[in-house]
Amino acid sequence: MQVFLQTLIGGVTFGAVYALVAMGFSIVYRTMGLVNFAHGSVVMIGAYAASTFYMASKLPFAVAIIVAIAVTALIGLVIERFLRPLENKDFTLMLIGTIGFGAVLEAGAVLVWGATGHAVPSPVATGPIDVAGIRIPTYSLMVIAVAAAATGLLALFLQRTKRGAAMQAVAMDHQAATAVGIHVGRSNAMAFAIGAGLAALAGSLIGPMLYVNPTMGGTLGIKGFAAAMLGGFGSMPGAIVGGLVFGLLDSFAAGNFQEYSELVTFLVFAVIVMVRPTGIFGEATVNRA
Amino acid sequence: MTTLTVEALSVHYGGVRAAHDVSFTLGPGQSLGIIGANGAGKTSTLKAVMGLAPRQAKSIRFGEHDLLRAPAHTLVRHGIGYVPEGRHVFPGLTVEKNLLLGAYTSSWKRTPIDEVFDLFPVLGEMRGRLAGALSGGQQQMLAVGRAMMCRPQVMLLDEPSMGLSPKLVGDIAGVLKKLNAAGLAILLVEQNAKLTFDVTTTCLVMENGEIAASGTSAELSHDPQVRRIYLGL
Repeated sequence: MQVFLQTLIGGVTFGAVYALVAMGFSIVYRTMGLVNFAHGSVVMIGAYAASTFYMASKLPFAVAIIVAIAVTALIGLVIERFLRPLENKDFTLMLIGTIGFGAVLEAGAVLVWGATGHAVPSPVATGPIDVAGIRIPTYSLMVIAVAAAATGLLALFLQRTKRGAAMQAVAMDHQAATAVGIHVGRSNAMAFAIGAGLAALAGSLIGPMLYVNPTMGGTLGIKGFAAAMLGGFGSMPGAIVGGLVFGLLDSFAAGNFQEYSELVTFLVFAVIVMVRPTGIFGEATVNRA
Repeated sequence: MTTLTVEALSVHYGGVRAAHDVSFTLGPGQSLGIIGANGAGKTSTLKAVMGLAPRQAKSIRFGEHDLLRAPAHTLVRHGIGYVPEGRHVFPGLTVEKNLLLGAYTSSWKRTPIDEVFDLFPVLGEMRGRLAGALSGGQQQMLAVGRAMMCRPQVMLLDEPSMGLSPKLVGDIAGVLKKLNAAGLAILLVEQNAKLTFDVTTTCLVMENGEIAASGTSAELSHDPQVRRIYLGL
């Protein structure tokens, strides 16, 4: 029972991070119909930025995360600005452009931080907290709380603000959004910035749980992408549920199949997607390609 | 008040010519119809005026504003409301959000949303409903209501009668006449010539991307050829 609960909590913790990555994929996809293949690399840059500001600049962890989010949001804006001339002209080139940016970010990380990577000490006490007889690592609680708060803020932004409504409108209908006065390019830029910010938050949070290195973006990117697909690509609630499901899958597979765990995780994922290609929240996907 | 002037407008999609050498003027409070068969270039003309289609023109002006150089998203600020073909409401947002987005460029504290609800009471009843769940007629009302939210001086409507029952077409005609009487200039693009003659005072007939005839709606509605082709009489 104890093992089961700990696996569960571990799954939810990683799931919360995957959900953040998946939401980043989805918000860009919803708005532009584009899969941002640089997203995993942005997660990695976020992890490096946060851990560097935390460890080298001795900033408090929370401040380091905020700085990392600002840095990567800027990177998101740069990527969108470079891709903008291709919007509505060459979709394939846009996709390849995001792959290119991913490669550039990875190479940049190697140049700045070296190829070996570093471990990040936990920003909170390492001992577990006892909640009703269940021992929960303090850091897990923090990750889950921060991810939940970020998700809540994003939902509030999308549903309660004018800019948020405009972003949703662009996602649903480019031309109608333009006709009511929404600058589609600016809205796309904001989607990219928010997506990158979510990536940075995910990267910052996962730093102390993993080893931060230049290739971590690949694994996290794939897992976040899979989580988004599992939930229904482009759906925000889907990204959250998909992230949690994928985290649990990952965690229980790791507990039961050791070195085959990734294989099992992705096999189960493949079966779910074969049975339900539109994902759990199977809304009709955007088709703008 | 402001006049919309279009001079020698052409629209090409790749090598395909959709509209050629289209010119017209729409003064303040006036009403102008463009009728024609499917593929005559009506929608392309309207989209091109809005900056939503690739276009060439000698000039497109709205008063002192040069629309040929204005990005599409800035037109609404000059008081140009657009009701696209096929309604194009935002399906996953509520009726109220759809309307508010019509007033995107102005403050959401003072919008004419109550006037829209007066004109279309059904929208008021359904303000919390998702736009995608509305019937075709209700969506059309929403699209017109959304265009009213920017307090336009001119409204461009593309096939508002499409897919609606004769009764609803009559309702839309009534609303358009009411808005026009209250000072709103109307540019109506329609396959439904009867509706167009009913709502507008002057009219253009488009064929193969060009203006084939023009005149007052009363004249055209008595023209034997127009009657035969567009009214089926």
